[in-house]
Amino acid sequence: MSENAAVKQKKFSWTDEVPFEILRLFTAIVVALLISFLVLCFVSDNPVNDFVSLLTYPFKSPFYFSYVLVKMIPLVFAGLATLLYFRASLFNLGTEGVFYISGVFMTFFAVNPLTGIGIIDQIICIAVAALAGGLISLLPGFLKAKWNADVMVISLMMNNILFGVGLWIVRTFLQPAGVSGNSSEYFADSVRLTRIWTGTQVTTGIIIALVMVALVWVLLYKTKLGYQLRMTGSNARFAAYSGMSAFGLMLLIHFISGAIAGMGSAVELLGNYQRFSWSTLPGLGFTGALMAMMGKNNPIGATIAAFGISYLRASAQLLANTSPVIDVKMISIVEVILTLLISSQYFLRSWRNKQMIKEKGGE
Amino acid sequence: MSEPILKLEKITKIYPNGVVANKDIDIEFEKGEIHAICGENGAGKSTLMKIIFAIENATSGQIYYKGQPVHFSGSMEAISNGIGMVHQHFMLIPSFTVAQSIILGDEPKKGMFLDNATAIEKTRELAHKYNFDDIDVTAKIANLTVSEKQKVEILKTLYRDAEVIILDEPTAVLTPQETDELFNQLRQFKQMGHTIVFISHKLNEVMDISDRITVIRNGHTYGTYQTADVTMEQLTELIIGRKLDTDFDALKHPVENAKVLLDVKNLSYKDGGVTKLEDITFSIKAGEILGVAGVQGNGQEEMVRDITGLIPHQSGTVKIDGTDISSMTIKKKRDSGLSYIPEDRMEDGCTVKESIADNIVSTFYQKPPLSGKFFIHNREILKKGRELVERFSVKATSEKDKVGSLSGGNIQKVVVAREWATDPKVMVAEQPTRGIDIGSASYIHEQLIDMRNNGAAILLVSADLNEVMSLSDRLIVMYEGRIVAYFPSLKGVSESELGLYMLGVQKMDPSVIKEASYE
Repeated sequence: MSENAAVKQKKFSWTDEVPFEILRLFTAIVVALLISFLVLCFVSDNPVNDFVSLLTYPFKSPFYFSYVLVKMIPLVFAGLATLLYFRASLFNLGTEGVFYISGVFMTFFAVNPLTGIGIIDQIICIAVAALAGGLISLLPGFLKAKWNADVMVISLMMNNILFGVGLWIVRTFLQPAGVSGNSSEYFADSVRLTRIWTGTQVTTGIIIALVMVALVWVLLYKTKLGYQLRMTGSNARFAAYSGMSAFGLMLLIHFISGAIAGMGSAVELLGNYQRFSWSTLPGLGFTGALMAMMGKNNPIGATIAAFGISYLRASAQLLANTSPVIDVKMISIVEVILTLLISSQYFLRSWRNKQMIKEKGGE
Repeated sequence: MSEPILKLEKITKIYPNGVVANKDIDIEFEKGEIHAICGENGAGKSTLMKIIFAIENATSGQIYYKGQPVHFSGSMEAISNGIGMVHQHFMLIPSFTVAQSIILGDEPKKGMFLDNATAIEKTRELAHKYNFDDIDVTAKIANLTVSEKQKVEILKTLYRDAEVIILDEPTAVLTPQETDELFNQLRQFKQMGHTIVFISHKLNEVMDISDRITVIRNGHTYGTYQTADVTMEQLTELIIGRKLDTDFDALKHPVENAKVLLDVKNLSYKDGGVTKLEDITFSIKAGEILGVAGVQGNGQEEMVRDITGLIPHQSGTVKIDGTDISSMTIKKKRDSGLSYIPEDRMEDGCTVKESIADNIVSTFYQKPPLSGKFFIHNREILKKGRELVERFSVKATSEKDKVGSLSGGNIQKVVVAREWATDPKVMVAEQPTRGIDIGSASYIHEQLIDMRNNGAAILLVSADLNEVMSLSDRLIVMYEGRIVAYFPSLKGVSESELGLYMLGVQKMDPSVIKEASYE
């Protein structure tokens, strides 16, 4: 090392980029929780008790805790799909539409398994859902790559279109004759994912989700495609100047993200449902965005975020059975505030500026 | 000595992002002097001027104007107190006339309405008083040349009775002839009692025009000198903090059996019906630097972007070592041996959010040993990054630093290092040292010479005449999308001679221009 070694070793400071982002995230979480506490103060006779329960309830029994893991799986998939988009500077919020439609397509194969051998049918189902999700997501990808269409607008519109089309398919082809409602026939037993924790609903789905986290991490940081994605996402003009083709990349990223969403849909349905019975969109578009943002577009970060949010959701849902005031909707407050604070570029920035001026001024 | 008209005392400016732009600056400006503020780009000159003009607030320190401590709340107040500023980038409205532009903000009125006749009369009087008679006050701004626009900006400050006029890099956009004219006018203003603050990094101009010079480096003042008492060499040392070797000819050595590596023929380009390039033909041999001089906006940008593939190719051919690359993708062009240092290093040349290592391999990350079929080898990429950071003396704590944390000069070194690393046959260097410190600039110049000596063909496009003249082996001048002059050697060629071609006053005979190509 020549003169570079002589450059002074940096002292740790909260105003440095990474510590500052962590500080920002924790402040956002604290603020969000405090506000939910305030809300509790209005509705509860014993707000402190309720608040403590909300924060600790899942640890009361293994079953409660397993519920957190069950809730976390779809959030992990949604987070992974969305963070890949965000990494490429694509603000695609279409994960929930893709979740819905790929679940519908998978149902054909879950209701009438092809082979009768459990593991193979499960793989077929997941593969079908992944393929459906990937192919459908190519549409916004193509529109973006070819005509520079606004991905956010298209993906939001597509959510509704895919929901409408999916619901029509369920009613027309999947619904058993003579039954009202919007459900398919029951899935074959063999395709249901295997429970891996006795006495709970935790299935092999959690393993699949964690494997996907690892794969996405490898994709982002260890492959040529991931390198291209990171460069294109942080400066598209630079990537083009360097000789990377944006067109193929746009299509590929959309396909991969869509496939991840499709997989998530299959895992969720085969893990927790008897049949396809979604009559609304699963609401994973914005949640996926929240996971990606909280995790700073890093797959591991997004997984931790998914755990945190599903922890609160599970806790609230469990408490809702016994408490008159706690409801899952309360957690929506936390989520909305988190989204707001984390996506606000200026949150805590003036504090950071003042700190930095103080530090430099002393030199 | 009389009371200084403007005095800065311990001015310090720290930006919110932690950058210390100015630290304890003390300067006194006398009435009726031309006072140059000298320093490299990024030394803190512009920030200091913005503080005087109240566009920015100082973090600490005090400004005295005519002996009184002042705190201008904004530039309007600075203007009304007699301080005027001509910015590097003009602040004029293209659809206005000269008269309208000058009176804007202080309009003569007839009742509720603008009094146009008085406005024209008043501005004409003003122009006459200051010897700006060549300015037609009824002309539209859009139809003026750059130097005329600058005169309008100067008249604007005079209309508001500016006693102190700050000129921020006024000659950057001017040809040598126009610069001389500006200097004569500035001397005249001085006679009339105005104080001129002249900001520049062009030392020869500073030596020519100023009475006193204040040197700023790294946000600190390094003294105020009587211009007559210092030499260029002393000034250079003060500005960059060390001695500088500028004799590039001594560094050059000839390349044997050089063949033509870049051959451009009949390159033409139209943008929305407007001809931007017409019949550009030249070629460059291995071990040669072909300079392209010209006032900016005369087709140089289109030529470079066409050759490098940033805009779609229209007509003509571009060959690298015999291979026609004109319609290839950027990747294929690069694979054929093309490298490119782009004019806009922040937008095209790097991504500030990623590490130096990731930035420095972006054009060859896909080749072994940096990557295999699917995977990149991060260890190799970091190693390559470290190698290049050291080879090009990039000042960073490590190759993992984000490019955004580097200074402009060091970012440019990263760009040059990357383009150098592929051992290109042809290097297109577009404004390779614009806006960076003298130290980095001279380092980059040496690297370009080094590449030339190792057999690369270099196309050097620069608005900095000094740069093209000192580096090039041969030179073409572009005007309105055409080559108007060709110099097979730069021996005995003067700046003012080039200026005549740059302004389109003169054109060489087509038979001479044809010589720019070896075929």
